[in-house]
Amino acid sequence: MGWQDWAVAGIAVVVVIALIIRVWRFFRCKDESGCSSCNKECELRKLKR
Amino acid sequence: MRLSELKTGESAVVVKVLGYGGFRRRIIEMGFVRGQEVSVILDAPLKDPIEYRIMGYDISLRRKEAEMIVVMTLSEAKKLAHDDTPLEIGQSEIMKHAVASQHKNITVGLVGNPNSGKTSLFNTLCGRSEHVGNYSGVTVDAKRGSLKFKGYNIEITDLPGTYALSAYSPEEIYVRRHITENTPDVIVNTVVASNLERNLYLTTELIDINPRMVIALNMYDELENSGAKFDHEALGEMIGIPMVPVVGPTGRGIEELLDTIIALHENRDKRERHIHIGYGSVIEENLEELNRSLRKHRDELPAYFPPRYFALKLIENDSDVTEMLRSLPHFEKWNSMAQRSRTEIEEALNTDIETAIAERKYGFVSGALKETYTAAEYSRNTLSDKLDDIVTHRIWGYPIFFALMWFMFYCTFTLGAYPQGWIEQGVEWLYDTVRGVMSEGALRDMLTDGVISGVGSVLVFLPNIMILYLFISFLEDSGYLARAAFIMDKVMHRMGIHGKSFIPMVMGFGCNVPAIMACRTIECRTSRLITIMVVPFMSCSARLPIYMMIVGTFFNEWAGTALFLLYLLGILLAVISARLMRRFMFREQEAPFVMELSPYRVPTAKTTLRHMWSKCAQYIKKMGGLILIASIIVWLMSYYPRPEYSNNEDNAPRYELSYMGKIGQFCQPVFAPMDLSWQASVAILSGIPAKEIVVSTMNVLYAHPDDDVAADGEELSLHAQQRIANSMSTPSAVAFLLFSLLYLPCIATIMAIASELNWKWAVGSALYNTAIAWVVAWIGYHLTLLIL
Repeated sequence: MGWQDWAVAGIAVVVVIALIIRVWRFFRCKDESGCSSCNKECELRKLKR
Repeated sequence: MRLSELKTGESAVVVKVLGYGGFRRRIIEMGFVRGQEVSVILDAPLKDPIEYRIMGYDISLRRKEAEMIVVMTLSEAKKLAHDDTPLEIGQSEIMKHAVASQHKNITVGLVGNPNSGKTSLFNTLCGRSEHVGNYSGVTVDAKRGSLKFKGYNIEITDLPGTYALSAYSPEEIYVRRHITENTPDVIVNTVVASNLERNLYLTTELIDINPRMVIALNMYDELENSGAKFDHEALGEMIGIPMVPVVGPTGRGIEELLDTIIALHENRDKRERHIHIGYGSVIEENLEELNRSLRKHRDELPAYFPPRYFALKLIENDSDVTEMLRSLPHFEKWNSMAQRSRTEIEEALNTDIETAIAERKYGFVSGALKETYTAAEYSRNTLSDKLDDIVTHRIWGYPIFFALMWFMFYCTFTLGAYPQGWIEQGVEWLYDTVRGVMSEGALRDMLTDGVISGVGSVLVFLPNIMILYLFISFLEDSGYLARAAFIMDKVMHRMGIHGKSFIPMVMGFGCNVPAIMACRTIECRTSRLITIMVVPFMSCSARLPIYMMIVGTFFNEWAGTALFLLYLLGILLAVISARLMRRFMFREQEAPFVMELSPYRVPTAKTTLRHMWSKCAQYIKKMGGLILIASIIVWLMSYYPRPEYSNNEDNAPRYELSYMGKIGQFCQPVFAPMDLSWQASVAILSGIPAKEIVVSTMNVLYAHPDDDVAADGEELSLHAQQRIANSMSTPSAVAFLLFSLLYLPCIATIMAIASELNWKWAVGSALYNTAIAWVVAWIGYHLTLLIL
């Protein structure tokens, strides 16, 4: 495996961790970026609060 | 006496519960019904709450709540019955009789605008001759009178005339204090029938307080003589308040008015129901947040008014309400929330808070009158009236609306094509640069075919999204959307829902999540449910990149029209679904309600551009977040395992042996009847978290250089768009479009449905949408085959 393969492997690990964190935050309604492209605040977050 | 006045060990019988509707219901549900005996277990003077026993169980009430319950002790009952028998003999009969006779005492408050004929009505009711002046400010104090009617003693208080119930003038404060301290059983709101719009403003203030109320349409003869047409029963049904035409001086309608007062007191009037005045999304969002906080501590609040009223008045910075709540433990928190809300509302609506709320109240009144009142011809000459005559014309209103919608989609596509082209060139330049600079390898492939192709393919549609939101913001802010809802009301009724459902449905074109939340403004439960279930058929902006990709490739010459037809199909299926749900699942008749008609406004460029920018920023943020992650994951799954590590005896193309290829081939049979490739199948699946990912997935999957070369040795074009065009027939493209239009919405929307309804409905909605999508896509495929 060359250096590019190792770099891709590292990025893959980071991305998978980011995805897990994002899904967890989404279901806990802590996602600050909004659950859609059109809201300034996650509607579900406000609801669950 | 009030329950709070009883001492420890004393007993009494409940006569009635005062306070606003929700409070009365709650207390009655606890067991404090008329005739029920209640005794005090523990009442320490400085302690709160007080413990009572009622119906065999112990219950605690705060002193403020106990003050709102009228009770009668046995000694009071005996005094009323003029009975001298010892207390222990025949107690229950005396109590029963006394409570029943107390209940026959009804207190009425007369509230209305100055010069609305209150005193004239008061004189007629009580047989008095108080001075009636033809100028406002005559009644500067309350006058009391009484009458007997059908076994009831009715005590009437003629209150000073007010235009509103704010805290600015002494009369307003006086009327409000009377309502809180004296808590009349029924409010009679006198409304001048020939000047409804101005008079009904005070009615909206009273609706916020939620008392038992009847509207006396005074000077009704003047309205009849003017030539105007007014369906007062329909209006009363809409706002949940009985309306009785009266002519004060002659006594016309008085008996019906008194019958209605008695019916309300006895909870027998079916027309009575509580509604909320809709203040528009900006104010409602803030109001609901503060209301939620107040409701959590409702036991601390005075029981005269509902929590929502307190929230509204705090946001309005009402000094009287502020003083009322100042001593409460959570006041500082509520006050700062209200201040924040006030600032936010004033910035968003570009006006001061009092004007913003007043406009919404007048909007409510306008909407109510629009449906029930036709003025005599000579009075409809304002610019707003003239505009309304055009846009809400019963014939021309519809083509104007559809023409505007078509124009919106046409601009979205054609105007957006120019900046779209520039972004495309930028993405292509970046792709070629990275490919040229880096040596061959997995990282280069990931950056070019994964990140740049994936994210770039979604980024190019940013201009189109911006234009769509620009139009939606403009339509909403200008007040046209409320008019469109009004003209669509008849259509909505045919669908089995209400015109008010139209606005959430149009919002669904932006995003389904806030559209589903906006359904809370629909009072009727079944209409709300049906609207929530059909909102996913409103194609959201996230699906737009999918349409643009396919429509741009296969139907380029008439792309705008194709887009319009696609959205129209979504609406048509929403109509059919709503109709079917109403017919087979929710047959109950719904109560009519008001659609607010807020005044026309020229939206400021600043507000509209700010709305547009916030959506744009969210979209870009999503590129760097969810879309980026999804693009990399899709690329990883389509790149691995590498051919050198896989068993490739049949010499299949590399990507078919990848993890993504295997998933795609597993799912492909579902889409085989529409001749969709496994790449298209996988792309559709990838749209579950967010619909934009469909486009990035397609571009990632089609960005892989083909292993084959053309017969003359030249490499085939690497442009993903071209590959997509080559891999799909036109009928398959139509099937792909239709499936993308209709299949289950993104996870956020499904969760929103689950939150607003429950998981059963959410899962049902997802399955229903997907089933419809498959059937319609299949039909579309075969129809296109037939035509071509």
